[in-house]
Amino acid sequence: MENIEKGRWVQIEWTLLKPEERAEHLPPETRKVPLRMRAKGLLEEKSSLGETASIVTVNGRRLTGTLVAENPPYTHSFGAQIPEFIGLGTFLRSLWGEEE
Amino acid sequence: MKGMSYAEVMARKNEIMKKSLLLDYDRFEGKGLSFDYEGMMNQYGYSLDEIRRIQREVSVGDTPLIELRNLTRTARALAPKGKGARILLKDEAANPSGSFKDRRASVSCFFAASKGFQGVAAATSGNYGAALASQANIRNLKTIIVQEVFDSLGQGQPEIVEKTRKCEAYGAEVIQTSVGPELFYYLLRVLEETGWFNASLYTPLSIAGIETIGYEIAEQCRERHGTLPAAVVVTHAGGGNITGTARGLRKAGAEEVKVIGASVNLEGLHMASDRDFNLKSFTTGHTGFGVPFATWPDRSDVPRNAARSLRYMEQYVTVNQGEVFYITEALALLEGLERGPAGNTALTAAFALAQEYDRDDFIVVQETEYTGAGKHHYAQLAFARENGISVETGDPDSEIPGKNIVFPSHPRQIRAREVDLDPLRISLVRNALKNRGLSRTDLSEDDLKFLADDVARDRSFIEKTLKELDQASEKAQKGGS
Repeated sequence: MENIEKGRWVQIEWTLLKPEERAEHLPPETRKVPLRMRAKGLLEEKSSLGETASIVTVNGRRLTGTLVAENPPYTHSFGAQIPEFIGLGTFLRSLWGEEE
Repeated sequence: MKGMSYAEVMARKNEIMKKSLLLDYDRFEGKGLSFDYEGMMNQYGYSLDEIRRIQREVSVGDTPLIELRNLTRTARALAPKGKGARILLKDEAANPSGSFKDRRASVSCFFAASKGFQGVAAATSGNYGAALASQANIRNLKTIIVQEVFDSLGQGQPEIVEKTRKCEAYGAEVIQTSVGPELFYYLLRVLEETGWFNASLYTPLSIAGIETIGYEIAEQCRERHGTLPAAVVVTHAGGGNITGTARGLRKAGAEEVKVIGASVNLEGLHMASDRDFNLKSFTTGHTGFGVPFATWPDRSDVPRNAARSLRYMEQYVTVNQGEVFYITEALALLEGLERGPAGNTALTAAFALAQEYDRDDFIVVQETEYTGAGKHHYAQLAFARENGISVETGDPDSEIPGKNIVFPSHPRQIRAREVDLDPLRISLVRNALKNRGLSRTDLSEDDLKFLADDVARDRSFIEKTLKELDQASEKAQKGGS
């Protein structure tokens, strides 16, 4: 298991509510799964991924959970161009009448 | 020691609210189901001029009103002779964090700082988190944002992942949650633990911050166009945008301007469903918020919601996801403006509605929002495809939320589909009774007047509705026995 040094910027995950503790009136597919939480902070003690670990957030709050990642990158993107839209501007302009 | 279970914390909601908002909602409660709405709205005592001063101090507001000449030209090409109002766009993306939510956050942060709070917290998965973090920085406050981000498989909605990034870019502490309304439970715990200000989207402060939009629209239209617009089309979700914009218009003496709400149609997708969560290509501006918040505003995270859309919305229309993406693309290609997509909901409706108004008229679209990785329409379409949603070109009416996204094969197919407001009004009355456990005979004069105001209808509408609800429940009881 990968060891992560104390003081590193990490992400933890924990269960806030087990299925039986969840709010009433939830759709069954939501009710049957736990409410999971994720937060980032500075690791309090050297730990391995998958272990229970405590962090201190930017606001100085101490949170405990399972260590899931060291400084996970943002991976969301723009995706690809949409072929259906290629030429849309030319097409829309072609609809304009002379009087404008 | 205080209990931390869901039930125990929720039971302390009013007490936590009182401390974290410095607002005692009980003061405004009537005996039955009514409450003093205007009294609550004026509780903090800021005039519109003061709100403008607060916002100008932090470069919020005074956003451009852009005439969309090429989009107007396109709408006119499709409109009957003599029809085709000019379309103007209130470019709220020009606010510091890229959306109109800066207006809401600016007043809350000003107030929190002036009362000596150390920080602000809110549960929001939208642009508001970034707005709050941005405004908090200016006012030297700390921020915690609780966001509903991922499903039980751990997969995040790209638009909300982007909101996390933006909040973190402003140095906020972001607590991400899986799908479920219990993020409010965690927020209450945070408020109790930190003693920080509850910067809810639904307080009178938040709505007061939006009123400046309506006021600016009236002012800009009078100055530059010599008259008021025929209508303002507002993207509708939780009701704040409609409420604030309409109240601002009224404060500017522009009561005659028609206020139209527009939402993306996400019928059939449940907002609290772990399964449906990543089948939505819109995380706001949709019917999943628009309808429930209109028919029961007090479902929000504060005891009494300051955003009460049925008081102000004179017409409500829906557009489809594929149509909004199409107009988002057209806005970039024809007007050189890359915005949205969720904020372009009202624009899509306005493109269709403009074709019904006279050429001499003009209509204003409220709002735009910034775009970026994750929340760009290309990102949403890529994500939809990954989740098995078919992306097609054809008749937008064949779109089924969660199954397919249909780009119109021709812009003439883009429609603003009318939602009958009366069933929503009736539903609000039913919910108001049900949530207080009251029946028709329990209601006082004040209650009847309150209900009439809450749905912007007269007393006779309420009396008729109450009778019909009684008859319906009698019938149901007979049927059940």
